[in-house]
Amino acid sequence: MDGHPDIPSDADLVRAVCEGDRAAYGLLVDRHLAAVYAVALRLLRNTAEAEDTAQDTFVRAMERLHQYDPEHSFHNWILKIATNQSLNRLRSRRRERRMQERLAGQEDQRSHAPPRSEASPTDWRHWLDQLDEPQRLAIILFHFHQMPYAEIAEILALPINTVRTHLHRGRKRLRELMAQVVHWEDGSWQIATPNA
Amino acid sequence: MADRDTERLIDAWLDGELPPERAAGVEAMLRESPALRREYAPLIELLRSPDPIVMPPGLADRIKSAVPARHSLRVMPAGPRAAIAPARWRYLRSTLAAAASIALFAGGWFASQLWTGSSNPVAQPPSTAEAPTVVIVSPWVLNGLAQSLTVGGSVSPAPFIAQGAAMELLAGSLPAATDTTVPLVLPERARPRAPEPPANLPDDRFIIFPPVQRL
Repeated sequence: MDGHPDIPSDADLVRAVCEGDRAAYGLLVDRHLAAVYAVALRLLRNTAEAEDTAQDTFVRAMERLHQYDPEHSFHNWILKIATNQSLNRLRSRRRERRMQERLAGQEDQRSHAPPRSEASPTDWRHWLDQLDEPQRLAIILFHFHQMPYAEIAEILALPINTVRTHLHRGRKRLRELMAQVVHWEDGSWQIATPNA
Repeated sequence: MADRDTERLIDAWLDGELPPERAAGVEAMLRESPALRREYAPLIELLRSPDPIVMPPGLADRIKSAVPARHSLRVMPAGPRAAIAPARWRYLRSTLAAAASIALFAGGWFASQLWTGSSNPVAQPPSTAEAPTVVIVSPWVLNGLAQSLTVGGSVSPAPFIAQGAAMELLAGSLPAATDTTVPLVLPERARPRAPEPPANLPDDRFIIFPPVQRL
C-alpha cells in the first residue's frame, strides 16, 4: 500500500481529501472500512449497531481530519476512533440496561454477573464472552486488530502495564476454560460433551 | 500444565516480543510437545483466526454518500494545525486557563480599587427604604469561576468556587482598606425602572425583592 509509486499512501489521500477530493475519500473508505466495521462488530456484537458505528467513525474522522498527524498510521488512527465510538455505545447500552432494570425493580445481583453467552463453543464469541470486559477488549484489539499496547492503553485510559496484565490474564483464563472442553486433534477443535 | 518459565516464554511469543530465532524455538516446542500442544493449540487457533467478518452489502456506498452530504469535504489543511499533538494542546489549554484566570482576577482587583477610590457604598449601605439594587462580586469568586469555566470537562467547579469563597472570607477579615470586593451598581439612569403600580391595586400585590444581593 504505502511506498508503492502507483498507489497513493494514506497520507496522500488525506491531503487530497483536505483539498476536497471525493475520490480520495472513497479510496480511504474502501481501504479501511473492513477493519473499522470488524472492530465495531467484535466489540458490539450487533450488526446494525456496528454499521451505525462504522458510519459514525468516518463522519468523526472527517470532522477531525485536521488533527490527524501524517507521521502516524492512518489505519491505527481511524481504528482508535472506531474503538472509542464502540465503547461509547457499549457504555450507553449498559446505562440503558441498568435504568431498565431499576425501573423494573430488578436491580439485583444479576447486574454483577458476567453476561451469559448465547454463542456455540465453536464460536470465538462463546469464549470471549466469559472474560471480564477489559480482558476481552485487550484481546480483541491486540490479537484481532494488531493494535499496539500504547494505543490500547490510550483508548482504555489505562497504564500500559495494566493492559499487558489484562491481556495475559485474559489469555490464561481462556486457556483454562478451553482446556476443560476443547481438544485440538487433527487440525480442528473437538468439543467434549458431558455424555461423551 | 506448562511450568511458569514456559508459560512466560509462550506469553512473550504471543505478544510478538521474541526475536526471530527464539520465536522459532517456541514454535518448535509447541509442535513437538503433545502436552503443550493440547494446552495451547485451541487458544492459539482462536487468537489467530477469529471468525471472518462479512461486510454488509452497500455499507461502503452508504458511508461514501453520507459523509459528503454532511461535510463539504473541504476541511482544514493537514499542515501546521495537524502538528498540534494532544499533549501540546492540553498544555496550551491550561496556559490559556491560567492566563484567563489571572486576567479576570487582576481586572476585578483594579475595579475594586477604582470603586473604593471614588465612592464607598459598601461602607455605608443604603437604607432599606430606598432599596437600590446592588450586586457585589468578589474577584476571588470570579477567579474561581473563571478557572472552573476554562478547565471545563469533567472537572467539578465546586473546588474552584470554594477556593474563591475562602479567599473572599480571608479578604473580608483584613482591614477595610484592603477590601477587594467589587460592588457593581447600575448607574441611576441605566437602571431599569419598574412600572408604576396602578393606583387602584393594594401594595401587597407586588413582590418585594431583598434590597442587596451578595453573590
